[in-house]
Amino acid sequence: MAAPESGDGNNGAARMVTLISSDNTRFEVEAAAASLSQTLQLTILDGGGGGGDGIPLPNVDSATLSKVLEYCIKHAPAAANGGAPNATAVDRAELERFDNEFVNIDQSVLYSLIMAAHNLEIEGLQSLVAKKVADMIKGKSPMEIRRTLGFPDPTPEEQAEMNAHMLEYGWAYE
Amino acid sequence: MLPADTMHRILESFSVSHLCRLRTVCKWWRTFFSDPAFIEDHDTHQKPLVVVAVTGGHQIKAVKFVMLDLCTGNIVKQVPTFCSWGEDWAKVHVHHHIAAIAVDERCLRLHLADLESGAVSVVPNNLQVEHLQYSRSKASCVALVVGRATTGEHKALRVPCFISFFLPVSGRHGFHGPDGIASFDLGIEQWSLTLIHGPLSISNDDETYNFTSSDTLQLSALNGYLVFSHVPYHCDVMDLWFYEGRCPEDGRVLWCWAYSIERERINRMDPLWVLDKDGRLVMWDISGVLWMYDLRNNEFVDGSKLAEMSGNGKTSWSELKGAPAQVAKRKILADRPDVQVVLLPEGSFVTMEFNPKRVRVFVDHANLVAQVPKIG
Repeated sequence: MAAPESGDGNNGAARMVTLISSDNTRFEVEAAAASLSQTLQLTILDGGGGGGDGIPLPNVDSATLSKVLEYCIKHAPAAANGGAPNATAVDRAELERFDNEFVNIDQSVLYSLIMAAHNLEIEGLQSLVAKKVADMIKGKSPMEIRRTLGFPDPTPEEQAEMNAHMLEYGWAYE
Repeated sequence: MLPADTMHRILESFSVSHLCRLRTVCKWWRTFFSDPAFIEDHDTHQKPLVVVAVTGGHQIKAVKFVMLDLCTGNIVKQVPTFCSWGEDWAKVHVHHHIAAIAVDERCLRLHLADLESGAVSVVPNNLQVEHLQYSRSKASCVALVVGRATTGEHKALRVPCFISFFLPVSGRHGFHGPDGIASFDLGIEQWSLTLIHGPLSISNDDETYNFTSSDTLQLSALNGYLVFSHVPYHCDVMDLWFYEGRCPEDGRVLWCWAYSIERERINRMDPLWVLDKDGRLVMWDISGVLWMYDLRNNEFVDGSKLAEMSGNGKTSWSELKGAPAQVAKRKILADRPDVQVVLLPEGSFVTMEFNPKRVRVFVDHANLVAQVPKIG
């Protein structure tokens, strides 16, 4: 896990902020990386999160937060370049490889990641996890999709409704 | 439960036919599919670029549509030929997944193809009384556009004229004089009374821009913008301007000069799309080849090769020559799950017809691939 190191990186120009997960673990990261989160960006711009008083994130546990920060640290340089028009093909390929690897994870981890990306409003991560879920759904039957996404099994009423829809849109299943 | 906006993102990446299948998953999802905001987003997200490739020398044998991932430029899907008319002329206009195809110069025989479902319908060719005169005219250029009106329906418009454009955002279509552009509102089916001046006639006083009637002028819709392209007669340079609307203060028309592309026979190329990811410009030329133009190094890459690299549109597997037959079969099916792989001894007699869904693999006596396997 690329948990951010604390301490000696501070003498450079990069400003650091502290984030506190729901289970009270403290993470120190560069402000630029944390600012990928729309939610955090304003607080950071206001000068929050520095020094001793970190920003508490009661919705995100430490395992998820370290994963989220891994993403932010990797993507922060490209984001700073404004979508990186001058990034080389190699850089882009590397980010793509990282992204693919990044979402190659257990479903429960993916779920926490979706919630964290949503709560922290990290645009790139939201798209990435949405794409991953879309790929998981592709080629599955409605019942399989419900199970994949952890929806409860349909009630008899819902089942009847599903069957009726199946009949109506039967051509779509061919 | 997933947050609604995440669900929205997940679902908008699916094509219409997929969404029909997904309707049955649960009630919550069905509410998305009837939500106007979702439909709007889905439409803009699903803007498959469709390219027509006309192949077969002087006689058009096939009209092929290629759908690209508009972010990366990879070919997502190739829609097989709809029909073969044996004509030597075709005009095509595509908006989202609807293509209008005319196979005669006056667009009297017009087909509409839905590239999602593959359905093709023939548009009745009876002309309005006031248009009857055109049925005898020899006008060889006819503007043909299909677009979505603000009312939501797709409408096709054919006009014997010089050049044409459409603005998908507002559903307006138009035609021009020298470089004045008239627009047609598909929603209310009326021409706008004011002309939009083209970039040539309104260029700066200190930098007059010359053009003659032999120049190639074209309008196209790039990424939802109206784009004006100009290739001076006998020149290999194409200038592209983006329409930026009217200046709010004095009502002046604003054009932004975006590209100047140098290439032999550039007048035979159409700009199609600027890729979201790296800003490369997708163009196709009259012979049906897809090109990726990179502004940074002024380089053209053959887009069909690009497709091979991505695997999706792969049509031949030169790297498999000499590989064991079963390995080759697995590899081909991994690249193209949609094809049927047929293993045959080298030198077998086979039928000569072309089958886009078949790869014949010829193997030698040691069961190794003897020739480069390819679609056919």
